[in-house]
Amino acid sequence: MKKFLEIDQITKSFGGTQALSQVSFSVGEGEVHALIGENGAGKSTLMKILMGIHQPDGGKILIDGSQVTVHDPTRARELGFGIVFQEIVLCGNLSILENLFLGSELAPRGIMHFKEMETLAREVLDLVQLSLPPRTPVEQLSVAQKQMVQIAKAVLYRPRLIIFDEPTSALTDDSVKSLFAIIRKLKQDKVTVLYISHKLEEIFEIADTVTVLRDGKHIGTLPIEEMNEDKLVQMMVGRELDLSAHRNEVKAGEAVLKVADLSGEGFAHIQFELKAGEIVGVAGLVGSGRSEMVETIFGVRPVTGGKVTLDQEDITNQSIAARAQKGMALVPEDRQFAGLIFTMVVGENLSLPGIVTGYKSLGRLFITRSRQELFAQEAMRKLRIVASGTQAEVQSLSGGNQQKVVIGKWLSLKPRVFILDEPTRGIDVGAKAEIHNLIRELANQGRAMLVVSSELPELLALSDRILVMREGRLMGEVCGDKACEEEIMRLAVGTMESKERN
Amino acid sequence: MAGKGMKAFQNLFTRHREISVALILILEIAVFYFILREPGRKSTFLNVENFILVFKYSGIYGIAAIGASMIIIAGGIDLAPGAVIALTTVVTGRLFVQDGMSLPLAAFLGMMVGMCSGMVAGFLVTVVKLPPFISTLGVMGVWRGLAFIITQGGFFDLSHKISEDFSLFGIPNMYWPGLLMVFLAIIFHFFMVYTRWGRQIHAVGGNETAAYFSGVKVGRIKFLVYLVGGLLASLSGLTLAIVHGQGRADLANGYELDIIAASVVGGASLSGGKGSVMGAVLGSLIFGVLRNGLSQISGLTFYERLIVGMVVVVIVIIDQLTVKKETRTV
Repeated sequence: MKKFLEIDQITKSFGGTQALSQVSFSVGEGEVHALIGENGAGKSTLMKILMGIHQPDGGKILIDGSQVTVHDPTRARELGFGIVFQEIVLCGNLSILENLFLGSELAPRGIMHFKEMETLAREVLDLVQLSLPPRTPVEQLSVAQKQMVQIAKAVLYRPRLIIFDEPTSALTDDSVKSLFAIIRKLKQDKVTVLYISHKLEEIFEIADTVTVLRDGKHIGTLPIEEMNEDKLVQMMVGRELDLSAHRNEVKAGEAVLKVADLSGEGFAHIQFELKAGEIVGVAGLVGSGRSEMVETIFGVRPVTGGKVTLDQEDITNQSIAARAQKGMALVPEDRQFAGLIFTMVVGENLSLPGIVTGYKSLGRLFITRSRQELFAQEAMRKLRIVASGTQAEVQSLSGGNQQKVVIGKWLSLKPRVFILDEPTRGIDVGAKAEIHNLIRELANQGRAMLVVSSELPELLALSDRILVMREGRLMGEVCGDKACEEEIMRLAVGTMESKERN
Repeated sequence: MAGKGMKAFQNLFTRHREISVALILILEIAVFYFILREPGRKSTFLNVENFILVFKYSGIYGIAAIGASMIIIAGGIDLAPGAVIALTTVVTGRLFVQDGMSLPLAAFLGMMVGMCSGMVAGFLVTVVKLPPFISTLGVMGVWRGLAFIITQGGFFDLSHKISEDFSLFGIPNMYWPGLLMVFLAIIFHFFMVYTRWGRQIHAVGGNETAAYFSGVKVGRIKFLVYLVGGLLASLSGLTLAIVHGQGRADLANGYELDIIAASVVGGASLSGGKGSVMGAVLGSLIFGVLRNGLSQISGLTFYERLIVGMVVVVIVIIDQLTVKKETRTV
């Protein structure tokens, strides 16, 4: 295969941090090249250098064997580089068409040529299999459809290289399949794909070659045939990890949380019990009402019927603060949206629930610096949060450490019922294993854990039993064993078919 | 290479924004001192009398700015202070002058103006869920309108009932706005930094949803800041009425924007979560010194507004640049 892109000895540092040191590898034309590594490995820095957002301190980029400099994003586009971002970066108030052409409208003398643009738009929308009129406002689209629009936008300029930056973090299984179909089609057209992801399964499904980065260094580039999951994980984290470790002994105690015929926005008639010391998983497709249910149990959303009992006490109509005081905690699904306050430093984030609930070691009325400092430091130590200190900006932390902050702010209150909604979404393998171990450890201490996750392997590895939801109803309960995987999918999807696996 | 010392120095500025705002204030005073100095004569700018004058005028803005900055930190905005100040002078004036009430009673009832304003704004924001801009714009219109209806084009003259050397607790009239401002700044600074409620106000402004998920009663916190904001605006109106000796509907026109500008110059972010009470008070002093200094330079009368406007923008630009630098080095 002809070499299309060569990265030669690229080095980049920010302040005192070495983000990339002498990274070299090459990408063949028309191949799907996966770029993986933990958060902070240097993937995004490399991507930003390719897109002209950062300039390297040293090293060369070669296209078709000749050296190029990407001094700004416009130059990147001229060179035929396109990118699909992880987050949705579209203007909701504008139409698909307007978003596609944003900044490069076909508008000689300032007048928009809508007809021509519409023809072009239809072409690329066909390619990404989005059968919607180009004039549809983007705000009416689902997350998956928005992601397709972003891909269409990248394809519009007929790029020779498309970078996908964790494109599936917001997608459902179905949409992932159509994404892969698009990538395969691009590949046929000799378009080179750089695919960045945390999800190992995806990489084995789509990639031809894998490059692993760790701590800004190039660890290796290998054809996918020479790779296996264990080897990949080991290259990424530099140590061996077992993500499928199961908990041996389960000592379930008395029922702590009782949910009786609970109904709310997006779900109805949910009934279950949670015992001290057990880990209960909640499975279901996106939109099955899982998050709505746990948020209602925590008091974030209104109850329309039924009862929630914590230690024999009816807490159905109590405030979040009251529930937290009585020993309940929730780590929300979206840490950026509902978990962290970015205008506050790590220490202030960690102590917030403690301050709200008047936790004794923080003082009931006045917050003293020293008490808060001790409180935050303890949480940082327990969770091994990597940050420059309690005064670090939350923004400067990696995804995994940010998630640990969200867990840590509740952990210090020693909750007896700990609900975690997607506790490892978008974080790297190392942090994921740590969080899994933490969940097991907390259960061993006798806390009742309720874990919601879209990742079945995660639920199977963690849970003693799994509740399966579909369309707002509790479909059944299955054991937390590997053997039950098909049973779970059957309940979650509602057909007799088992999940297709490659 | 400057190493740790430099870093610590930088941190001091980014952590304690008040210090850089105070430096701007000192710089400003120095600039006016040099412009206005006349060799061989006593400075008309840098003397005790002028200092008291600056504090007197800044205090009226500053007291209200304390409340405004708390609202801004909580992620809101308040357009009502100017109207609240005016209606407070009118209500107090009318009750004191026309209805012959005692001054303390009239003043107490005048404070009700701010309390009601805060409660109405708080209700519209937290219960009706209107945007703060619209809620307080409405309050501003109605309160200013009420002031005009009560005065019917005239004004209440308090000055003939309050003698020139009127004093409270032995402290002369003219010292009160400045003293109150400093006193309240200390109290509310402590409140915002060291109490549970202060922390929750910062949390709500930083990320309302995350605060709510952490157990913060977001509605109560928001209501509280509008209530405090209204009360402080009223207190500012009370000092204005007593110091100026008038209750007029057209007083404090446009103050709301000057007050917001003072908070922003003092480090508050209009997107919420950031800022400080001390910063807002220092911001008020920066404007107070600026107005005072400019008025002493002959021939600048018509340029005053233009210069004040430019200074706001320049200070915020400098601030933005330092913030950007900081995030880049991370």
